[in-house]
Amino acid sequence: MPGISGRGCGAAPWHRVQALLQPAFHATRAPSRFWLLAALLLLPHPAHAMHLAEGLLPFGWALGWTISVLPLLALGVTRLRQRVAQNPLYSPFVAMLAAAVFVVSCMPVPVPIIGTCSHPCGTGLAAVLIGPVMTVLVTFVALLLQALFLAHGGLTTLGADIWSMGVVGGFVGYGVFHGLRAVRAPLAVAAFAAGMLSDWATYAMTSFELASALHGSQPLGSALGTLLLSFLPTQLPLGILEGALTAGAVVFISRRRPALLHFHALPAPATP
Amino acid sequence: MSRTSQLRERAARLDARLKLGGALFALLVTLAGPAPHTALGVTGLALLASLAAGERVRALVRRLGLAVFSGLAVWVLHLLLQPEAAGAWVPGLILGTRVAAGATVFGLLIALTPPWELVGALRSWRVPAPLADVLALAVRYATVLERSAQSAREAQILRLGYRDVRRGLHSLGALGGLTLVRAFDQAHATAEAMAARGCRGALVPPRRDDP
Repeated sequence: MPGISGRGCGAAPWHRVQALLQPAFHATRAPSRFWLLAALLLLPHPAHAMHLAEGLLPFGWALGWTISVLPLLALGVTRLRQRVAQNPLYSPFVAMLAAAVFVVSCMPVPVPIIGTCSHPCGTGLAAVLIGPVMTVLVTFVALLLQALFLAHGGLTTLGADIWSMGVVGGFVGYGVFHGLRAVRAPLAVAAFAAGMLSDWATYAMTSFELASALHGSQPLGSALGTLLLSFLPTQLPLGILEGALTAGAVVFISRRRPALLHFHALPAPATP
Repeated sequence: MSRTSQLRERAARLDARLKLGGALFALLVTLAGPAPHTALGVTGLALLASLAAGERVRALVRRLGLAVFSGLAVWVLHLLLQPEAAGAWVPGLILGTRVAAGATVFGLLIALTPPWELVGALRSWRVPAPLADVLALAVRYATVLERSAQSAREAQILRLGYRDVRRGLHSLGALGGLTLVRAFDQAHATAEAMAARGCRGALVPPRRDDP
């Protein structure tokens, strides 16, 4: 399951998790089920967060998400073509950024509250650097790399994964960063908020995708609420950590290579 | 040469388009066919093929672990949503078998096909040229960047960069930034190398009548 997985890197402090979740699940009057769900969510096993695994979505939903993301991918390819027409050597920049997003999303981030490690999205950071439309393309490439190299995610769930990470995560990250910069928020604060909210938006969207496909005869709202609640213990701290990572990376780039922060606004990189 | 090695070599020599097409077909059949029988059948066949191709049992069990986990999570989710209803295990079983089929089929595909061959297959299926170029370059340099990030992380660990949470976060941010800066440096170097070889954007060879 996406977002609820983590590579075990320490014992989970169970009493803290119980204290965090118990009031929320009190209404279900099923404490044993709480323990079962908590155990499942905190079960350490190697997987990358954010991805819907191959086979998770039924045929109709997988096809629907894939078809609906095609126009955005086509827009990204059109933009890429335009930039390549301006400067034929633009494609290496996008390719390296996709590879970098792949690498950043493989970095293990320790999640202190539950004592496991998880992985950042990196798409908020990409959106800050190259804008949301190209982020959709970069996410497609990064997700395909993760599928091909690490067998995480899959081909039938690629459309849904692009929606959650590239479209929702990318647009939220870009909007928050530039919105806060427009009101003269400090760079680190804007980047932190962009990373954090992009991560949370990604998880909200992933929960929606899962709930809409799996709720069966139950109301969509209850399924969505339960999923969001289930992801809360890992995603709340992970979002904050992703915000910290994005802020650190953006501040580092602003000191070392400030031109990269305006990369998306430049007509084209200088021809070597 | 053992029989397993011969089988694996023969499978690896198959056209990537054929393997990718076959995997996609198996995945679509799994999703569209009657559940959970189709998914179980596809999983069984893929497991047998994986064993015949010399895949390690431990790796296969690890792949199936995700399926068990997903099935259990859906079962508990349905229990929470409708505590009184019976048969909450059915959706869990259906989803678990589907994930098992997906994991085994896709795992077999990537075990027998190198990533660049899959990118080549996509290119031959008329994926837009700029996208295919980006994919090919990203596949080529992903491991390079990963190794570079790994060495930087090791250096940070040696300098006690992950001593506590605060320093760890600072180091992680710097590592992310450094990876991106190196990616852009690598892009410059690649662009220069492409220009030196007379490349004008597309990585596909120019046509004969191209001036």
